[in-house]
Amino acid sequence: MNAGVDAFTATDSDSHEAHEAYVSIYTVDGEMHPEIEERYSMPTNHDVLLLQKLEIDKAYRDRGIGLWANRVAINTFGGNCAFAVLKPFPLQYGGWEGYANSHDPKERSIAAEADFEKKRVLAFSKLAKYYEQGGFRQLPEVEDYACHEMWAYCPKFSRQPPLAKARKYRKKKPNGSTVPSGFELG
Amino acid sequence: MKKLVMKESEYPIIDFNLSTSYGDVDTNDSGERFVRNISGSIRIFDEDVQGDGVTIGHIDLKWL
Repeated sequence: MNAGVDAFTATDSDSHEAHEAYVSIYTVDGEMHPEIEERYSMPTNHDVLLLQKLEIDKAYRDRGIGLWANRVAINTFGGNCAFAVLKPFPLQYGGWEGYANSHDPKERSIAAEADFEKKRVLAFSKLAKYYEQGGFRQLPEVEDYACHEMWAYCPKFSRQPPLAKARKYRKKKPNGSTVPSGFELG
Repeated sequence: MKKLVMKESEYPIIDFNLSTSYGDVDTNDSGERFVRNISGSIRIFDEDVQGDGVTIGHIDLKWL
């Protein structure tokens, strides 16, 4: 949404999540990161839709409602956005890094469980796989802004780019432009 | 996209509510670039639920 002030500043003033979503795609100068531009060669609209949080009651999980709800949100608000962005993060692990030193005995107890780390990694991996099925692709990390594990879906494409490096799928078009062969305009 | 296990007639509906936040961005110059917050309640209907259905989830978005 552009009405005069640069998005880097606007998102920074809003929240960490909003800023993280923005800098995962654009530089401080508002240019798309080269790695992303390479993978998603396309006309640029700078708007980004951040899918910040999604909760489905336990009784209704495992029915695809989450992906469906994300798709409705993207279709409703993300049609003119360059990307819809999210971070696959199981909500039950909110604050997990501090469990071991938590004041809450329950959290310390969870962190002390022998398979805590194994379960945590599995939960994160499972959720990432879930969004991968919905067409989301992991973005390169942006170390300068501690921006990790952001995933993106490009509404412009009915098929999202492959997970492998985009360069190997690029091919020259007759007019000289390059478009990854796995892309189709939506 | 993964094939959904629900029939189309069973899909829940989402009620979206929008609000706009300005944060600390200076809005006095040429205007403002703002963030629009969007929240949605996910509701489902079935034979046992009358009226407005039952809320089964929630979604929060930010339009940057």
